[in-house]
Amino acid sequence: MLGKLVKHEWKAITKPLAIMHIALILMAIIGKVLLNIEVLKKADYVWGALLMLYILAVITLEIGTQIYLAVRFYKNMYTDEGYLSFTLPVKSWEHILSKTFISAVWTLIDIAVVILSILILVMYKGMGTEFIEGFLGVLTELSEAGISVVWFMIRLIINGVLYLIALPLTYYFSISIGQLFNSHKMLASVITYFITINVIQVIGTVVSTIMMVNTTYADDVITDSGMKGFYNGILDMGMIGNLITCVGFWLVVNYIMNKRLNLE
Amino acid sequence: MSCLIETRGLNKKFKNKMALGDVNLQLERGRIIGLLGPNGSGKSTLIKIINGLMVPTSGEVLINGQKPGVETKKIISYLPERTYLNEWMRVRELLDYFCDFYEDFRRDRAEVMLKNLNISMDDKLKTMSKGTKEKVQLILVMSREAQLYILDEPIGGVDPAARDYILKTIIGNYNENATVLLSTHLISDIENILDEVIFLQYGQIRFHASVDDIRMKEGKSIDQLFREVYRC
Amino acid sequence: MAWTLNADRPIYTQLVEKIQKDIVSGIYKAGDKIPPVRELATEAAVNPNTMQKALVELERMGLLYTQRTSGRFVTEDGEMINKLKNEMASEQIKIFLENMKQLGYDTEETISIIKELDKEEEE
Repeated sequence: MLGKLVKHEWKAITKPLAIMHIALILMAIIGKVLLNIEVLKKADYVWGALLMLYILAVITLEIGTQIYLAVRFYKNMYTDEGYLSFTLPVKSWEHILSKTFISAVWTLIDIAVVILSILILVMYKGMGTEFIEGFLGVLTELSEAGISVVWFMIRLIINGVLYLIALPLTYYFSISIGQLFNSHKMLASVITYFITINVIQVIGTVVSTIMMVNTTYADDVITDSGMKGFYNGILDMGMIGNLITCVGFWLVVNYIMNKRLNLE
Repeated sequence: MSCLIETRGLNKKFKNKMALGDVNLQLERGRIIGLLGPNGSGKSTLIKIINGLMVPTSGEVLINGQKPGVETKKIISYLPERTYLNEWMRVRELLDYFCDFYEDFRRDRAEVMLKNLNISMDDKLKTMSKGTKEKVQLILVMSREAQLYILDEPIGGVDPAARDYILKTIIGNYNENATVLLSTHLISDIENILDEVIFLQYGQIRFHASVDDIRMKEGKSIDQLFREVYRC
Repeated sequence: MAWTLNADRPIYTQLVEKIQKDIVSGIYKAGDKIPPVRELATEAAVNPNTMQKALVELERMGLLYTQRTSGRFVTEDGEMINKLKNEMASEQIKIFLENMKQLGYDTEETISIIKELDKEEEE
């Protein structure tokens, strides 16, 4: 059943999202073409205007995609469509998992498309080699500072994945909490969302500040071994924090769906 | 465990309202049962609880001897009062969807009924009239070989021809292992197809009896009786 | 077309009457096979259990009989059908005469009116 939910979730959201993203790529291609026209190359304001337009497009796409994913969840679970979703012979956690998974996948695609479009616009000869050299340089610095490269990469990936999962789960959490109210459910969801992300940010800042202030780190921030400790610490704290919030959100959404569902 | 649905001391309380109070029911298989009552009588609450869409405050409900959950959802085919399908989907995609999630879905049966109504596989729900949309939902629900069909206001707001079609579909689909629970206001239209009726008022069962018994005892139709019982 | 049924009498007795009428009027002749329960119920727009109850009653009366694998048939007993036909006719006539009496006509007068109307029909 989980596979089927994933399949149908993908089917339901891919077309509109794909259209939006292909549009961005097209914009990048057109931009690149325009930029290569000799006449236009001389005019600085052309660059500026295109850049602004492009940035606007990217921002719209990013926000639009995330809003679309959040609204999709709300519509499919807590409006009339919820009457179908919740009477399917599947458990609530399967709904949450399938939607979280597809949202994460699409966010990843989204990021990849944006990167691709940037590359299309600014790609120049030798950029590839420069980039790889730069990246290897960072890795060398890290290993010289005594930080295990492999661990660093693994942590980076894990954090990335957790970020992709935490993003939709935060919406699902906020939307579900909003459902507990008798009126103004949407408003409650939005407010919950803002409160939640602020609380998380505050906690994150507090924790890292504590770590900074902690003498073991403070003195050595400048030294190599301190850097290692700091980096490791921050990454670990972040990872654990993300994990805890993800699990917490999951449990709350699951509970609300199982015990506090009240479709109108 | 011969009866299909059994509720024991079912209670549902909202903040300031007792939606269902001590509901005790036993519904057998092979019946077409009417769930009648005015707005706010607890009909939709009862239906939601049976479907697992809501949790009771106390008491329990058993469907085929089991609590509401994945197993009961497999054998219940529910038609809610609203359009619960994604309006952007084409008919063909809806059939795929139902085939995927419901083992008891008979695609061929649905295709025949849709064809008889001249509904094409490529039509999107969005382009259909209200009546056609309702028929599509009904066809999807009735094409499952479920043990319990719950139809919430299936004939409200449709023209008489559609209403006849819907009623005939319900009768034609009958089998003695399954039960149909019909919730409605429009009693006179469906009275003839009911075996028994349950009257709900203020969250409690006023009575539960067979249609013919009532007619024999009271000398009037269910519709007339209903008007008297609920005259305030 | 759903059968016309009275709202305040039990449905199954009305179904029994309707099928009796169909049999005596020849719509179902002696020995004819009648449609299966579900089909009849759909045509009449009534509950299949109620239709079944009516058919069982008709079987009890001897008007129908079931053959295990082939279905339900009207009895071959022409005499029984005729007897029923006469009974139903008498019933109708009794009701009619009672209604006429309430209008102030006795049996004799009623018969003359019928003869008059019949003559007019032929002209």
